[in-house]
Amino acid sequence: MTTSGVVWDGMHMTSGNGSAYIPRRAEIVSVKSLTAREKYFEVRMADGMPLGHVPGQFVEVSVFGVGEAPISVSSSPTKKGASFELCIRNAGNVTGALHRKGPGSLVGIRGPYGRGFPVDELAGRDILFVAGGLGLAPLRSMINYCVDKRPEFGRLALLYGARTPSDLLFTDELDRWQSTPGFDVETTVDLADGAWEGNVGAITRLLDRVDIDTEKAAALVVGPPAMFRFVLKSVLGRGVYESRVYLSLERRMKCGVGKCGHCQVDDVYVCRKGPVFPYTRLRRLEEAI
Amino acid sequence: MAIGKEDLPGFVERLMLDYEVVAPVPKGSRYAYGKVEKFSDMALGYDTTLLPPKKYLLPRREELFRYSLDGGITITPKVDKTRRVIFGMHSCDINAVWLLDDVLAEGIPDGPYIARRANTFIVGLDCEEPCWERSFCGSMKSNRPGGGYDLYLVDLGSLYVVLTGARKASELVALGKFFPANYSISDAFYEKWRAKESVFPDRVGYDTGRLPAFLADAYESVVWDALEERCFDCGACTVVCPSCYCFDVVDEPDLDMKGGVRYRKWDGCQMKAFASVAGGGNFRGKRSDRLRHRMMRKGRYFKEKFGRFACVGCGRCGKACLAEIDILDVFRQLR
Repeated sequence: MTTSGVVWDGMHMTSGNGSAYIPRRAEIVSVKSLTAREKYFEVRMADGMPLGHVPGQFVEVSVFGVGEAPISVSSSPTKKGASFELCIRNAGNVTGALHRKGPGSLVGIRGPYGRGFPVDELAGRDILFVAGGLGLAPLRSMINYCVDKRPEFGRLALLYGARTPSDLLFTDELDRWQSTPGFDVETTVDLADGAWEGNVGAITRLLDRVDIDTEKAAALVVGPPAMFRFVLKSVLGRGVYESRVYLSLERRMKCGVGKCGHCQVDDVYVCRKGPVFPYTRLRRLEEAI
Repeated sequence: MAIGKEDLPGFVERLMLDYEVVAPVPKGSRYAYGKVEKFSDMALGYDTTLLPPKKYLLPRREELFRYSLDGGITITPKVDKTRRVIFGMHSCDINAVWLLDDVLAEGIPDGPYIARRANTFIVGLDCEEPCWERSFCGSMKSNRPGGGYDLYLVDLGSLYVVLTGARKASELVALGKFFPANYSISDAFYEKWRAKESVFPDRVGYDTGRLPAFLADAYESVVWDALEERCFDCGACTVVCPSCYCFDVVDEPDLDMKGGVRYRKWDGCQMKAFASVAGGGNFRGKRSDRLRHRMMRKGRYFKEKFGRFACVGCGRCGKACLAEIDILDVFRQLR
């Protein structure tokens, strides 16, 4: 990777040639199947350096010869060791190619990019996590951050909805979180199977079962766009302040550096100003939700 | 500063010794930017080129790096070190490059663009009149260059007054018989410069300072639905636009699969899949939403962020559109 500086006449900045688009090498350390569609990858940068991310940020993962895809980081920066974790659904060319890779495979990583959850502003508050489907992947980073720094946060609650019981992610960790003091975990599914004894139906119905002080809480919501609409209504209706509701948007973040245009919502590059936005900001973006 | 007209060919041919010189040349009944070998190849009386000069700063296909997979991964960035002069650029296109400069340097800079830009010199040529009946550079305040050029030539009969822009212009100045402009030259220049107001009349029909507000008010307008029925999603408007810079990134493996290149290519927000994500969602799947997004970007978003319009009024998109959707008509309707 060359970083030979090019000073551009009259400008305040210098830049390497193409450095923004050059991936760093990384190695897949371990792979685990979570569901039929999702796998979990532990990745380590080839130079041994930690990723240095904030919960909620994403990386661009390269499979050379196939392409690049934006993937949210699923592990907390408080995790021990230099590796980080990605939870990837097999949904396209790049993610399909990743699903065929095993430990020892080399990939490319750019990032971390974007703005994650405002961990400093969230300190001291009760935190309500609301995850729909694969939305748990980016939220897991923040959840484990809160669990690892348990004394710095108030009560914690996770409402997690999946399509069916077999779509539930991180089931072993759900149990671990549930047994963490001051952490209520509630799950629900849209369609139950015979063995399921848990909740069925809308995620918002779980709101009454968790013990948090909504007026002092922050709500972190990640899921499909349809979920945003009704979850927002319920969460705000329960008294969570608009300025303390954070959502993470899914968009096609092709370049990750605010240039290629694909992830734009109105005039905002989600890859730079997001993917995590306070609701007070998203409310003014017509294309957001 | 000024240069005698008789000295311009000598200057250009001197440039050719040190730089690749590209300029408008005839192409069919129109003009296109192309490499020139001698002064007389240039068609300096051109109206507007088919494609804007952005092709030299953001090539239609641009290799980002080569990768090879021999046991590990070796990545070799592609660096284009061509030193190039784009000669004869009109002020609309210069203003568009100036905007690209801001957009691509902002935040995390676009390395390949910055590298090319540092090696690219722009010699502008002032327009005598609107290129065609639907040019509206006067309305978009782009009939004079705000920045982005190195030298800018203004025809005063027997000589050109030469404005110098970027600091690196001195490199070019050293290669021609330029001389200081005296008072009578500068007076004649300012007279012509001021007269541009009347030579390039407003064609939008209102002060474009109000355009961002009109567009904001028109967010839910039926204008977009009406356009939707005509647009073919072909993206020609974005291809010919001098300020469109969106791109897609593609990996192209070698036949032996042992390596390959990653390149980027022009993409546009009018293409149906532009805002689609893996798994099938499309955040701008409606054609009217895509048309609105483009118009908002050209007439509002950049103005709000950088103080300048992304639309420079060159008229290329209206001319390229098979369905005769013209951004000028859209702006007019918003009043």
